[in-house]
Amino acid sequence: MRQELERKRLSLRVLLETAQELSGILQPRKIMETFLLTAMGPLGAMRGVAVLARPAGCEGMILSRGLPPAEAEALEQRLPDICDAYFPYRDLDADFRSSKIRVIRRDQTQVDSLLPRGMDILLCFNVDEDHCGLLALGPLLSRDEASPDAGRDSALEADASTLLHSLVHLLIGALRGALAVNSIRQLSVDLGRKNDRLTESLASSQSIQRGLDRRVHQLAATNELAGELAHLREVQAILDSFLLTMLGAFSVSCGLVLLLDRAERHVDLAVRGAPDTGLSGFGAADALVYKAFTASRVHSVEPLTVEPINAPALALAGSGLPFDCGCAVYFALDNEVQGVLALGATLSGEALEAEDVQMVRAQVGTLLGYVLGARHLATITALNNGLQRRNEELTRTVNELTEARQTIALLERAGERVRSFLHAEALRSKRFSWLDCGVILVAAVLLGFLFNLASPGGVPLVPEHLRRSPAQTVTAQKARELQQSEGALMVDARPQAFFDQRHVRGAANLTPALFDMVYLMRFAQVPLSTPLIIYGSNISRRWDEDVAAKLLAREHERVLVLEDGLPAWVARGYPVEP
Amino acid sequence: MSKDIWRAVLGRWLALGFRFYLGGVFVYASVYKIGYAAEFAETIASYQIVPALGVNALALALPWLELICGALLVAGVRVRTVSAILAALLAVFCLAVAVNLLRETPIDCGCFHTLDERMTWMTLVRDLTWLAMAIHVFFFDSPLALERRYQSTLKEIET
Repeated sequence: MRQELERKRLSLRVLLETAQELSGILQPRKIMETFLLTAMGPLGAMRGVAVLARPAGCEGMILSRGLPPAEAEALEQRLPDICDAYFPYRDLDADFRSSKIRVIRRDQTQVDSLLPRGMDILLCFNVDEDHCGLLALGPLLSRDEASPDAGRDSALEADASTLLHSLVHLLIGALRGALAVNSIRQLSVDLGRKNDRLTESLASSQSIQRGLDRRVHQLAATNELAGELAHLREVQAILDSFLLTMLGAFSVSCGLVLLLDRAERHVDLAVRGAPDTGLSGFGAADALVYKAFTASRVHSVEPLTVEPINAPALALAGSGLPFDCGCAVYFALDNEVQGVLALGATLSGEALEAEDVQMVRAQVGTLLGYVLGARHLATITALNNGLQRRNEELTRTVNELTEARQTIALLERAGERVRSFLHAEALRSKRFSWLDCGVILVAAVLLGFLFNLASPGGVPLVPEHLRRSPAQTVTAQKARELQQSEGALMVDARPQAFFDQRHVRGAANLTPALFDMVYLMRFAQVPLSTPLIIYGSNISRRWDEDVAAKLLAREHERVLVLEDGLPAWVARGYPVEP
Repeated sequence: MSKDIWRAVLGRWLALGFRFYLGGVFVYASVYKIGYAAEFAETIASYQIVPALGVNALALALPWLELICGALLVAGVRVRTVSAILAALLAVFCLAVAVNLLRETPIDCGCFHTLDERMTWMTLVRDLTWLAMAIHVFFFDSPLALERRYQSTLKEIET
């Protein structure tokens, strides 16, 4: 009993010392070394091997004590095999608890060759979810060397077994603590590292943020530029607005954008923050653009080419730029229209970054689009104006043609009428026409009457005797009586030819035409009271009435006109002559 | 061929001669009558055919009718109508001459002058000859007509 108590006291003492030894150690290797050193003595083992491994990764550490160095080194080389041999259960036995200690008999192992000979005590234990441990001890000093087969069960006594288990528990606890501490330390290190990374990331993100802010500012300026350029129609205005926006977007104090049209020998130039040094002239502008072209390393001028110029200050030196060039871009619309964008130093004095240069390049590309659009618009406007002018001319021509057509139609109608008239006239000229007869007769009558009105020797239309009261008449018988009784004179008023042909015997021929002369010759001495009997009339003329009127005008008192004239006289049988 | 020539000579060209002759005669005759309308009225009255009311009017219109017809005949305008009018006038003249010859009226012809030679049957023959000429002109188309100028112009326009 006392011996038993002594053994227990010893065991407890060993446990206490072991616990004390292990309590301050934080390194698993140190713990295992200390454990082997502490546990081998009380257990009476001459050699000991402790393995701490992570079966999942087949890694770990092997510590040995009491082994020759070569064997210990060879043992360390066999760690993966040991893991495969002694810790397969982690994959098979899901119920294996972390604190369970498995005692393995040597005859249970199929790989005795992995461990040195004489390791009678094999203990497998689980430290935590990841780590497993193996403890091999032996041979024990208390074992009878002479009879090794006396009984393996007795190789380890119950107390010793209990002590061993307790020690292993202590080992497990110490290892867990150490591993936990190591894990915490590792976590702390990782945390610090991550913290450093976070700090770096924060700085980087702040830098990126600044860059993004700049980009946002540039993009906002670009957006505004797009809005402004969309309303501009002239190249010069587009260049001015573009340059102003570029200076603001990239915080540049001065800049220049030049567009050269070689075909029309025209230069569009926008300069800000610097004086114009004559680049608006074609020669200087051409030289600058050529220098920019050569510096841009563009091999051929393709439409819508945009190419930054490396080291622009050096490349464009002496080309008339009024400032030190910090960034320059050569661009070309086509073979004839090319240009240069040159920006001076930034307000902060820093050079533009590569991304900024690319942004400038993109903006110049946008500018080209608007300039192209403006030039196309100008071309379209010119064409449109030309078309409008032509349209007006065409409209005028159409109107003139319409008027001409109307005139032609009118003339055709007139011509047709003239033709039909001429036809009718031609036909009329070939045949007898009552109308022509009427026209000729009317014309003759009118001309005759008009000429008579104008002529001083005109004749009255109505015979004069019809406008006078007729003279007193006398019958042939009475006339004969008057001739015989009162010596009345017979007067023949007819023309002389009629008189000569036949007349009343003793009659005198007194015609109206020769009245004055004949009257003076033959009737001047006739008394005014002598009866004068006048005859001579026909269907056309009343000569007797005319002569009677003239005689009455001479104040003859008895002027008588013979009724029915000479025929009545002849009918009475009165004398006539010849 | 010769037949055609004779036909042309006796037709067209004779008609042209008659046109000129008759036109000239009437123009010549009208000149005196227009200038001495009173004397021409007496001549008309001496024929004892026209009523007293129409003598002076006829003496005024007839010379102008002769002048117009003579001029148109010479010019070749409305030849057929004019020749018809002249033929009608000559027919009337012939009738008047014939009547007065039968009446044995002692008057002058009065065709050209007041103091013309006394009217005889030759006068009637002359007037009948002129009447035949007028009828010939009426039936035969003659060249050198002013109206032909219109027709050729019309053909030029149409072509």
